[in-house]
Amino acid sequence: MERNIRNGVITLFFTLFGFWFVLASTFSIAEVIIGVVASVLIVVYSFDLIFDKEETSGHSFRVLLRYFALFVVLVIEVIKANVAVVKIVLSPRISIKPGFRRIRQPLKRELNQALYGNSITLTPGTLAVTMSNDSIVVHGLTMENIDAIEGGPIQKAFLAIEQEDKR
Amino acid sequence: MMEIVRMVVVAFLLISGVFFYVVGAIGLIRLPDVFCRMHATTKADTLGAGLVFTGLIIWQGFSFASLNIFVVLIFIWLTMPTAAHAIARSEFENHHRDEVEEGM
Repeated sequence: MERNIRNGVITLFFTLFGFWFVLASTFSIAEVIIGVVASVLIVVYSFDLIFDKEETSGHSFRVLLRYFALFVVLVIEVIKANVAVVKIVLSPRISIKPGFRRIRQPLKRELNQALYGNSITLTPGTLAVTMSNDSIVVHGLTMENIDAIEGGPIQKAFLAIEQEDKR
Repeated sequence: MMEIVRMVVVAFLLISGVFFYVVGAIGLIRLPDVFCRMHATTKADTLGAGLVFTGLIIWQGFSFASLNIFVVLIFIWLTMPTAAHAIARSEFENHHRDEVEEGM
């Protein structure tokens, strides 16, 4: 078995088992056995669905750490975005110049592209509208908000994930 | 003393979470078009849910119930922007296709 597929299987198993454990809420032996059996069955039967050729490497542990770093950056951006929204919504006269712009989209993996779109929606003043393999149409409350995406912290965090993936 | 501090923190988180929900609702009414309205609701509701659920987790203490609340929070954070994207995209494809400024 290829090394990154083996890593992926192990990570997937422990993720599923951990998720089961959170939902089951008890430590009894019966629950643990059912959880192990269910996790193994899911890994065996969905193996070829989850690990298609290009997607395999992303499940290794180091990449998961990068995703966690992304989550931290995202929380900070969400708070900034909300301060901006509160300012606009509660100001007596709303002064915004909304518009669309098509910008470059540097990510390769489909999972990352989906998350990238979601992250753009959650960052200050921008909303992902539609997207293709190399570009993404963004709606901004002001055009400066759209300028802030390229080279911003979110994009850096995603590029770091893809860098780690290639190793 | 610790108990009082904890209650104050929980109250602060719940109240500020509700505040963001209210701002989201006001934004939904006040802003001019579909896209701007999506900005207000997705962002404010995401942080609102985050604050309210964090408050509940601290209220619960560290237990399986609070872990469950955390799982719910993750799902909300994933689905909220996805829903906004679906609404914005259908509006865009139908009415605003020609208004895109090329920035590539």
